[in-house]
Amino acid sequence: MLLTTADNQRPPAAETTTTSAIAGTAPVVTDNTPVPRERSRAWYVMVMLIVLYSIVFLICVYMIRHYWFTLNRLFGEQRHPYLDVDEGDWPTVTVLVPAHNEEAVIAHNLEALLDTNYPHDKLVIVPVNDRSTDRTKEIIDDFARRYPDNIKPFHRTEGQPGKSAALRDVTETVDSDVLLVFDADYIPGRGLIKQLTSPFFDPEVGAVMGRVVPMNCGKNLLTRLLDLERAGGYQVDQQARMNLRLVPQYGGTVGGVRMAALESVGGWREDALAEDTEITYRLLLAGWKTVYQNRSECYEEVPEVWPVRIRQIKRWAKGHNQVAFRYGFSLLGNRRSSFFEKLDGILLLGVYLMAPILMLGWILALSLFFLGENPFHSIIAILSVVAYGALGNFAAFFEIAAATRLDGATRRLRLLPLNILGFIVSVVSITGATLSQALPHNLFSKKLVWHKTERYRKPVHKPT
Amino acid sequence: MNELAGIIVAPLALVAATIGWWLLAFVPALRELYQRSDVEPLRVVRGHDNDVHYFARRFRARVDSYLETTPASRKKPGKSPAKAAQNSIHYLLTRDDGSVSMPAFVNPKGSGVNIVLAPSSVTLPREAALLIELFAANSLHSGEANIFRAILADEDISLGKDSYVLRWLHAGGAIRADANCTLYGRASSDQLIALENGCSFEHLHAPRIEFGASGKHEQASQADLKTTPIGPKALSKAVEVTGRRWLINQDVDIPAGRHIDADIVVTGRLRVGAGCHIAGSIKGHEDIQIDHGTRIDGSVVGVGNIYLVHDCQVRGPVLSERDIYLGPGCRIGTHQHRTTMNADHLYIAPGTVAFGTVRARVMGTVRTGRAV
Repeated sequence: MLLTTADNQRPPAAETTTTSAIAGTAPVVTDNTPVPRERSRAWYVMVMLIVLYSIVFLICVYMIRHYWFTLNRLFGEQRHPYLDVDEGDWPTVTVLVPAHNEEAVIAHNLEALLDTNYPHDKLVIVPVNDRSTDRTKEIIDDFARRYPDNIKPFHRTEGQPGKSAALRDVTETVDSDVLLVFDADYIPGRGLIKQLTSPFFDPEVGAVMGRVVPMNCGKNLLTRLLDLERAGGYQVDQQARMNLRLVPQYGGTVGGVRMAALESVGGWREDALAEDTEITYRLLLAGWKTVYQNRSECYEEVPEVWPVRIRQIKRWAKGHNQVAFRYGFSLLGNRRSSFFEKLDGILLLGVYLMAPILMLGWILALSLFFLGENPFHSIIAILSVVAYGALGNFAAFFEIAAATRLDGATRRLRLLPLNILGFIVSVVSITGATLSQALPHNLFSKKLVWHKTERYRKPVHKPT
Repeated sequence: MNELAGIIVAPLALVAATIGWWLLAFVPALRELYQRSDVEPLRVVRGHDNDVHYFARRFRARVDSYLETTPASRKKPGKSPAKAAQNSIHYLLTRDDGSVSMPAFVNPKGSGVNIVLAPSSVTLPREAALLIELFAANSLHSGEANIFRAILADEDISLGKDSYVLRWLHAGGAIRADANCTLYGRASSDQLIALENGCSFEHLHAPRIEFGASGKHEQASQADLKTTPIGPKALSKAVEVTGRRWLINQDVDIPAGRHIDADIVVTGRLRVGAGCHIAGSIKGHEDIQIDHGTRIDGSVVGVGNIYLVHDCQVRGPVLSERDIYLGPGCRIGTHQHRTTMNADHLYIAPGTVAFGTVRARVMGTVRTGRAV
């Protein structure tokens, strides 16, 4: 490939053509006249370089973070301070189960919740049926009729749609000490409510998060890749943040909040796109801690088809970005958080923003490469690409590998190289979501809808 | 011709080699994708509920299945499962001269015996070793320096001094361990666990747990605890009040004899003076010291060590990410409100009583001495 340089400030006497730019070799001078290597760069090249350097720096920061977390998880001290609490004066708990057209799964969920070993005189289960058009209401009412002391349904027929709005409405009717949330497709184990409630004996804890484990992981390539991704996210990422006293994230399900803490920060926001991330940061700003319980595990269904997965990750990205813009600066100035909490909180908020930044970095690196300013630039461009490919991404893959090892499921690790596929889909989807979010129309829009993730189980419940 | 071949073939070969090298990394992935050798969901034990009696229940079921095996259950002609089952049980019987029919083996491997069974109350000799699960239908009294793998008894268990239990023990009645016993794993009782001075343990669970000669310690009466209320600003200028919670970003010393009706979170060191009454929970990011005669209605949670000097009462859980030191006369939980005490190491002075669960992630010890 022959490229003509774009540098118009080159001395006219020195007509040069660079060759082998891909190989990054020195320019070949056709008239054998020596050319001075030092020359001024075009302003836009300088800007591109500065931006690229900054992006590579950010990638390196995330790379260090990933390695730090993984090494901590493999070799560091593990914190499970509330795991062994099996006796105490347990607080009253309300379990919310948001449900919108969940006839396939809601019965399993309610049966499992009723089977838990939490003192039943302190447990209320509230299925939040938000305008379901299938048999969800019928199934819930049947359970409520059979277990009137423990199941108290909340049927929404009006008001703002969306999980945040539904949570806000139902929370106003709750007078328990602790509020736990389970998605309708989750199947909690017998001891899970106690495990998730035990951290609230600590008066500093505002929220708790358990671990979700994909139940349908063997379905196809997508579910298997998501299984690996979830393992890395929970087994390594969340637990490392717990170990290092950083910012474990409340994930909106298999977790809960202290009512007093929730009230102290103003309750759920109706316009939150990701109420879980939102509440994590509002609690953090108010001096409440979120804790992660890695051994409080619960099965979930992961998307089985790519369009559903893409919608899911786009929704997460938009919600996360919203929180980043709302609370990023407040966090930096927050005197209730430690330096490392602030650092981790900012990096966590930036996770989804990194996708478009990464795309920009690729474009810049390739552009600089083909502009072929001089060999040094080409090397930088190549190094940049290598930095993305080898370091940044591999660090995340290292997390997944460590997670599968900790889980004792090492054979599925062989699929790891295929995760590059999920990675690329995520980067493109998140970039699209972020760019669309930046459009003025979407930036100021208040319209919210219930983003329901498709379920794959078959309905089994027959009302008695 | 050769030049043309070089121009075309060489780059193609390079591209092919590069792609091949790249694809090599995908061979194990593609193999796993199509062979599907590891597609089951990760195991989440739905029945897992932190039940301290888990091993005891399973062993009891095993004992019952052995004892219920009768000739009527014979499935193959010529082979009697009943006889096989009977052969795998060693009975501990007290002879007329008072001696016990101890098994001849120490190591159960290859002995053919799966269970040691004491059908009636039995007292074991000194330095007996039973490295196989033991079921006592009545009470069991061990001799000095006995070693057990695991014990299940329908009534009381008393361990002679310097005895060891390696895995777990459970008693329908009381468990009493004489001086310097070591209880690894779980020890649970439906009534009482009493450990004498020098005993070590990992996980205790009973309605009442006594450490040392608890009855001999005269606990100061707290019924007439006289305290003076104190407000958040009087306690610290760096306090933030959010509902019931006082968040204080510095070390805190609560003066003696004060009453606080709030949850207190301190980012530094916390000391609660003698004779205070905290009608809430406390949390400290560094060490917590609770002076004598103090009563706390909620929980005590410490990132650092927790010291309860003596005669303190805590109704809720006491949880430390490091160690807990309890002086004599402390009470953790009540008869009506069983609770949990949990730390890496627990150093408990004789005269302390706990109700519920006491768990050391590394080891707990009953020892004479001051907490601070």
